[in-house]
Amino acid sequence: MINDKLFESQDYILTAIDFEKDPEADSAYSLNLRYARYWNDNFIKPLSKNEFKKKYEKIEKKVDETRSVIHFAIRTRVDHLLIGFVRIHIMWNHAVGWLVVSIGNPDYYGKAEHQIIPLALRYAFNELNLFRLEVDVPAFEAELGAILEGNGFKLDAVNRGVIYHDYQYWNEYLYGILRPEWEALQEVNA
Amino acid sequence: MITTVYLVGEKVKLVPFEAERDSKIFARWRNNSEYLRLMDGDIALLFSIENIKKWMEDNENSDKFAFFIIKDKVEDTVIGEIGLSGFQGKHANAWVGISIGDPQNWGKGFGTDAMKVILKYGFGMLNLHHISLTVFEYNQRGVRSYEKAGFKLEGVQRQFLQRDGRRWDMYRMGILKSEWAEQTQ
Repeated sequence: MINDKLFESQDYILTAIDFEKDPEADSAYSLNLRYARYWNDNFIKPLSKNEFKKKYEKIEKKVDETRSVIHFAIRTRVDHLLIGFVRIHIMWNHAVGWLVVSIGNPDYYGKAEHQIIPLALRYAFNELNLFRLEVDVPAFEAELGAILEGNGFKLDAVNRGVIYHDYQYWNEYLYGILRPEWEALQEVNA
Repeated sequence: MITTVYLVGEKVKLVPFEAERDSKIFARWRNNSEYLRLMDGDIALLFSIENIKKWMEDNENSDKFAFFIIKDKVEDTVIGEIGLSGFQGKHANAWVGISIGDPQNWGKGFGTDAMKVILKYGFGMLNLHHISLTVFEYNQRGVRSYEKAGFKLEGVQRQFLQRDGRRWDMYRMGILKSEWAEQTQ
């Protein structure tokens, strides 16, 4: 039987971007520079509604034309409130994915990830057919590291002092999980 | 615990520009020549709302500067603008990539020396805090060269590559400015 629930967990759903409603919520969330970090390639700053629209357009274009990245909005199942996003950058020739999960709504930060990470893993291994999935975690987001470890990720590298945030340099942890490791966990849990 | 509330003071908060809203406000402010003459050394000019809006939109998502709208914290009204530009040396980390083209020049120390030069540039001129690289498991010559230049192994991206029918590891290496300073003294 094929799994037809790729985009939902108990309390959350993965959906497309809503160009009408999401810019306002994301713009407000981006005032928290921890979240804004994930929307800026260069220096960190909050983005306006219009800037978010442009970011969305750019991502959707890339998804559509190259399939080298996938992007979903994360919403609550009950009222479809936008709380963050999940994104996977893909290197197809090596079957490697780089996962980003960021929760902008403070009420769900450190909580929603418990359901989103397993969903992202299932999508990465069962739909994208990746062999390896990895996540970069700044040391100040230790909660996320713990959730990844709880889902079978291993700490593969510690990049020392590569992030400057809130007056100090932080290490960045690189977590990785391989297909056989994930599959073994599914058998244990089954 | 890291600070989660930035960009908020006792009386004001800084928020992003919204071109639709702020172009009208800017056009209104600019009608006051004193405002223009206090702001900068440019000649006093008046621009249409459309022109200002276009300027704002053209500069959205720019990484060249970080401009903000100043809002009254209590009233939530737009009261001014503030911004940083002309950024220099803003990065904590950079990635280095290197290759020596002709195989007859491999293993002669050219790469190691070039790496030492780029480290000096990155740390001495660009004020980087750390420089990173990745190297494949089957490139042990590279690993030795990077170690000679001062890089340390920071981890292994297990089975990252698929080549010739098998998986290969990729090593993460890095060097801190403090380590570089110590070894070059």
